[in-house]
Amino acid sequence: MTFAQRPRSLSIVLTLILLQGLGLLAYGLYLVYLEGWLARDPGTLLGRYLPFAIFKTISYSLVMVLFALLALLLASSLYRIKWWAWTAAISLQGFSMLSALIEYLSHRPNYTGMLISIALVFYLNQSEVQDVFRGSWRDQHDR
Amino acid sequence: MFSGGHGEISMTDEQPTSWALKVLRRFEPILHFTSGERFFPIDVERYLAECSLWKYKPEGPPELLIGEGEITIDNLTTPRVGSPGTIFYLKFIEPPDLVEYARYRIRQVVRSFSRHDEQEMFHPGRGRLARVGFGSRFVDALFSLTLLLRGRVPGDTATAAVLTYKSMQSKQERYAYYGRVVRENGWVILQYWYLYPFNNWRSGFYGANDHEADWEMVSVYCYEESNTESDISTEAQLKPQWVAYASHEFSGDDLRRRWDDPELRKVIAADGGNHPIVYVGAGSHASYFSPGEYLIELELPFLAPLVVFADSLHDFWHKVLKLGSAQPEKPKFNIFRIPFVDYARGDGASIGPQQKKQWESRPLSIDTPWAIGYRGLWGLYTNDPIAGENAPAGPVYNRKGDVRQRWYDPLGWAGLDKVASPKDALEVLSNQSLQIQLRCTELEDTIEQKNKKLAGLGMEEVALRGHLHLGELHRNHLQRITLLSNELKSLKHEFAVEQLKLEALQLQKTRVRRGELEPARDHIRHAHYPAPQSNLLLASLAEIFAATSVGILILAVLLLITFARQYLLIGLASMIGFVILLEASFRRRLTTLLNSLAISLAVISLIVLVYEFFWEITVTGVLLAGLFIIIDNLREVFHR
Repeated sequence: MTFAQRPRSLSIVLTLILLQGLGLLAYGLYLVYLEGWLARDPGTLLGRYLPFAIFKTISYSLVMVLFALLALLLASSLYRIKWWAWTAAISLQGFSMLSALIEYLSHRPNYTGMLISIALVFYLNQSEVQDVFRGSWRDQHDR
Repeated sequence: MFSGGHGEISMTDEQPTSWALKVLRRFEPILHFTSGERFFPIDVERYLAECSLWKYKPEGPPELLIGEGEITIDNLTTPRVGSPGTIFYLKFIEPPDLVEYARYRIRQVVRSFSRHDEQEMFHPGRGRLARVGFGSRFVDALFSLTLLLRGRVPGDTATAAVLTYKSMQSKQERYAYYGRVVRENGWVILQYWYLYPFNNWRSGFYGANDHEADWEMVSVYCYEESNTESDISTEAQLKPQWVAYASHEFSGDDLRRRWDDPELRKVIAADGGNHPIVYVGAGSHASYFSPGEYLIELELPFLAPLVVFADSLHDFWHKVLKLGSAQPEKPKFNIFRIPFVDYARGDGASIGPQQKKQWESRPLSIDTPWAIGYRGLWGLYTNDPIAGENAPAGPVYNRKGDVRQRWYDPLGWAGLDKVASPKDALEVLSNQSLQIQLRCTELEDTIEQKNKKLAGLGMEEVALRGHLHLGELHRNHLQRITLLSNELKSLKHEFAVEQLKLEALQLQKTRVRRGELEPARDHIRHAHYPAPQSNLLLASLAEIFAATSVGILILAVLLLITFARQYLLIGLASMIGFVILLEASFRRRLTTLLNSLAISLAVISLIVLVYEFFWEITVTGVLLAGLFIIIDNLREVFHR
C-alpha cells in the first residue's frame, strides 16, 4: 500500500504517534537536564537527597525515553502496516493516558499528552484504520 | 372466514379434504432431533388422556375441574367463565411415584457410565457459560437465584414426564403432527403443528425454562401453477416458494427462507414429495434450518432499560461516531441479556419421510373442536411472573386467550404479507402500474389547471403593481401566488416521483417475465447462525474458569468483608481486573479489552480537559465558528 493509498485517518495516526514520540523524547531529555541540574545544586530539596533524586530522575527519564523510542518504533511499524502495530499503539495510548491521569492527580498535569492520546484513540478506532490492520492480520495468518 | 381478535380476516381455512391431506403429506417436514431428546410430537387424544383440568384463581388454591383420564373433547371445550385473573389449565404430570423415580435415576446414572445408549445420551460439549463474558455470567447467576423466588415447574416433574411419555409410547409408538391448509393472497399455506408433552430445556439441557406441553409450528408457503382445484393433478402443480420455522418468540422476515436458499436442506422422496429438514432444539423444540448450537439471549423485563441503554451505546459508537470496524455479520451482543444454548445438532432421532419413524397426519382447521373451543393452557400454570415456566396455550390462542398471529395472519407472521405469490406477481405489478398511471394523468390535469391559474395571477399582480389605492389587493395577490406556486412545486415533485416509480415497475415486470428472482437472502436482517465450535484458548481450563469465576468472586468478597474490610474496594477492583484479564485471554479478546480500556481512559481524560479548559474551549469554539463564517462569506465575495 503506497502512502497515497493509505486512509487519511492512518496518516493522521502516523503523524500524531511521531509527534508523541518526539514529545516524550524531548520531555525525557529535558527531565535529565533539569533535574540533573537541580540535583547538582546543594541548596535545593533534591540536592539534599542526592542519591534518591538521581535514581528517581534517571528512572523517570529512562521510562520517558523508553516510551518515546517505543512510539517511534511503532510509527515505523504502523507505516509498514504490521498486524500487531494497532494493538501495540492502542496499548501505548492506554499507558500514556493512565500515566497522564496519575500525573494530573499528582498536580503535574500533561494536558498536551492527554490531548494527543485522545485524538490517537479516536483515529485508531476509525473503521478504515481498523480494517487496514485486520486485513494485514488475515494476510499474515492465511499464509 | 375466521373472526379473530383483530376483526374479520379474509382468509380461507381449507377443509381437511383428501386433497389438503395429500398436499400436507407431499411437503411434510423431516424433524432431526438432538441425541438425548426425550419428547417427540404426540397426538392430542393420547395427551389429554393423561391430563386433568384445573382452574387457577388469584385467591385460594387451584380447583380440580376434571380428573385424569376423564377428559373428553366435549367436556374440555365446554364454555367456562371465571372472575378476572382466572386461568384454566391442564396438568399433565402428577408427582412421581418415589420408587419408580429412584429406579429411573439409578438407571440414568448407570447408563452414563456405560456406552450402550450413546445415541440417546446428551453430551453438552462446550457450555453456554464459556461462550459468554463475565458480565453475562453474573446476570445469569442472578437469574438462577430468581428461580428460587418465582413459580416454576418442580424439579422432579421432568423425570416424571419422561416416565409417563415412555409408558405412553411403549403401548403404541406414534408420532403425529396437525396439518392446516389456508389460502390467502394467492398463497396456499401449509402449517404443520407439533404438540410435545413437555419442554425440558432447563432440566435436561441447561436452558432457560421447563414447562408442560409445547406447541411448535413449521409453515410451507406454496402457490398454484393452475387454478383447476378440482383437478387431481393440482396437488403436483403446487409449487413451494417459502418455508418458515417457529423459533422461540421470533417473528417476521428473519424466520423464513426461500425454497432455493442453500441454507434450507431438503429431501426429495421417490413419490415426488419435497420435504424440508428441520433441526429441533433439544428440550426447547425450537426449529432451525442448520444443525448446530445456537446462542439464545433471554431478556428479563426488569433488565429491559439496561438492555436498551447498552444497545443505544453500541449504536452511538458504531452508527453516530462511525467507530469500530464494520462487521454486519457479527451479532450485537448485550451483557444484560442472559445467554442460553439451544442444542439443535440433529444427531439424534429423526421423524418423517424416508426415516425410521414416520408421521401420522391429523387435520387441523377452524372445525377442530379442541383447537377452537379450548382457550386454556395446555399444561401446568406455575404462576411465573415472566411466564417462561407457564405452559403455552394451543395453536389458536396465546396465554392471554386472544388469537395468535401465526393462526390468524400466517403470512404476516413470516413477513410474507408484502410479498405477492409468483403466480400473482405480474398481475399485482400491472395493477400497481395502472394505479400510478391514473394518478399521473390526474396530476397532469391538475398541474395544467394550476399552471394556467398561476399565470393568470401573475398577470394580475403585474397589473396591480404600482397603484397605491390597490396596495392591499396587491399584497393579497402576492400571498396567493406564493401559496399556489408552492402547491405546484409539490405536485410536480410528486409527478416526477410517480414517473420514476412507473419506470421501476416496468423494469421489475420485465424481470418477472424473464423469471428472474431477487437474491434469496435479501429479506434477512439478522439471520440466526450456530455459534462457532471452538475459539477458546485452553478450552478445558476456560470452561472450569467460566463455571466457577462468579461463585469464587462472591466468596472472595465475603472473605474481604470479614477479614480485611479496609481493603475491600482495592481488593474488589484488583479481583475484577484479574478476572477480566484472564477472561479476555481465554476468549482471545485481549485486543478488544485493551481498546475498551483505552476508550474509557480517553473519555475520562476528555472530561478532565473539558473541566480544566471549559472557557478556553468555549471561546476557541466560538472564535473558530466566527472565522469560518467570515472566510466562507469572503470566499463568496471574491469568487463572484
